[in-house]
Amino acid sequence: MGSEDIGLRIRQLREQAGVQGKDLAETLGIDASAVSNIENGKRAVKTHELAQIARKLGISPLAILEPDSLLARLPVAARSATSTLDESVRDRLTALAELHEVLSDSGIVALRKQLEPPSVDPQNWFAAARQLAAWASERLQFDGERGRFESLASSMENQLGIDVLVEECDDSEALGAAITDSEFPLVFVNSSQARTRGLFTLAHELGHVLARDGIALTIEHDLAGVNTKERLANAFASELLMPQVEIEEILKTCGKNASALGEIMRQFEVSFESMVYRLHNLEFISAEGRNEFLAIGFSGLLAQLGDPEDRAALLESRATLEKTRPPRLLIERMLRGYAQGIVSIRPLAEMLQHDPDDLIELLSSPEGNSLDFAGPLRTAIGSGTSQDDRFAGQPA
Amino acid sequence: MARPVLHDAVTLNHFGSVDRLDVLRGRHAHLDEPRWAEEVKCEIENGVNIRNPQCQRVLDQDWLGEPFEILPKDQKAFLFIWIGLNEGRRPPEQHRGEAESIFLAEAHGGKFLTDDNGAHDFASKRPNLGIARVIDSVDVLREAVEMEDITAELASEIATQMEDADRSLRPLHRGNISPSYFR
Repeated sequence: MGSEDIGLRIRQLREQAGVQGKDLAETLGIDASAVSNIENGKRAVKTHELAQIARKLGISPLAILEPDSLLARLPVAARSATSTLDESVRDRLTALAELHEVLSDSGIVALRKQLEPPSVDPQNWFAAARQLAAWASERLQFDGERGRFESLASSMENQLGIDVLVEECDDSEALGAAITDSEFPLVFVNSSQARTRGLFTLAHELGHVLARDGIALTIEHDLAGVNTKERLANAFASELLMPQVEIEEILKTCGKNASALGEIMRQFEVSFESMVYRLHNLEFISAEGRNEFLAIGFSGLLAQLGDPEDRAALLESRATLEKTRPPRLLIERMLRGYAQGIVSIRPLAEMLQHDPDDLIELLSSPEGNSLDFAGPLRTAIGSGTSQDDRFAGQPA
Repeated sequence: MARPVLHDAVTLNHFGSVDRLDVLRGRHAHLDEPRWAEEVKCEIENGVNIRNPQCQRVLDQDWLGEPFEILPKDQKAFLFIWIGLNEGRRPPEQHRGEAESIFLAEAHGGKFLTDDNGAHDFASKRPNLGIARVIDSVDVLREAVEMEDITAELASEIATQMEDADRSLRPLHRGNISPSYFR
């Protein structure tokens, strides 16, 4: 891109963001006329100015230089308690997309190919949610030993090529967010929430990714399904996590009582509220019944359960998520990029919560490639070795 | 023509902190420019503003010449290096001096001089630089000993003074800076 094209692009993005030329000039510490000259291609923008402009507009500098890149469109869906996506989450997703762009430019792409979900009509959100949930259910397995959250997250990565990042974001109101572009699909889940809620957030964001319905920072204002896209994502998550057939089976086995409700929560690892809404969605309870349950609340259900083990299991499910879970597909690509000098140790160390210097040492052991692990493993312990000898020198 | 060496701010401050910028001058003043990047100079100037004495010593080095800036046509290539050097928390803000220096070293067929372990590690893996074209303070001191600018004892003393001034050498060198390390 020449100076003229860059200038035009800056003007276009500035106007889209509703930023006045004089405000941009103030950010850059230059005259408004200098901004005008930049936008008219009469003055080249310097690298530090490009970064400052991008910062002011809340975008990546690459979005300015590369109008056709992922960074320029970056479709994001968010599950947030506020009307705008927090800056910290927006910045994190943008920075991860930048890393993706840098790696892709060097031919470092995900080894696992993403599967294409069926095309759906988002206006017919209920049918679309069921269709996508049925498609996902056939491909995802999430009842593993590591709990439903981790199993679903791993399955999303392994089967669908969708990265999952869990991180603590205390200062953020966002429960989760997703980059919904098929070039680099990624779900972020804020670890500052209960595991049950986190699981629903994960499935909700998966719904957004499969429906490809992220737009430039689509925000769910109050988590109550304010628009079609959010209804679709909520319906998808409910359908995926709490299949109708299995709920019917539980109600049939346990009877329509507190024990059945506890079993639904325990088995599907969902919150009390998600379960109540699901029962209403499936017409097992009326709107009045739903409101009554919500008024009784989780504590009321706990009081109804006689078995201490059931109560303990439900309470445990309200524990918060693991603090961090790195996006494994991106990590794998970053490791390849690190070896080739495409990315430094810093983004890897940040994501793996590792000291950068220690990680450099760990990844640069020249002996690692030539060690013969098979040799010692092939050598059987001689019969003369005593147990005392074998247990000498145990690591602390 | 002699290949340029791009000096990172951290290393200029290392030598400035012990008032031995003459060692750098002796090894690099005769080489081609560029010798430093625009952002590196900015970082040094910022240090002067907060009254870091070593930064003023660096600014007084005329031999560093005019800093080079990144041309508009090179912005994308530069950005890719800058992104790779950052932590990935937000669009790049930090480490711009390192990124500019690496870009300029690659573009001018030169070397990159830094004591930042992460930047050194990154640059030495880049196909357009490689381990032979990324050096640190210890490498400069060793070369100065080899060229008989200084003795190995003095090189050891300078490195020790750097550490005493809380200027970190790369982890590889820690605990190893006796005179024999520089011979």
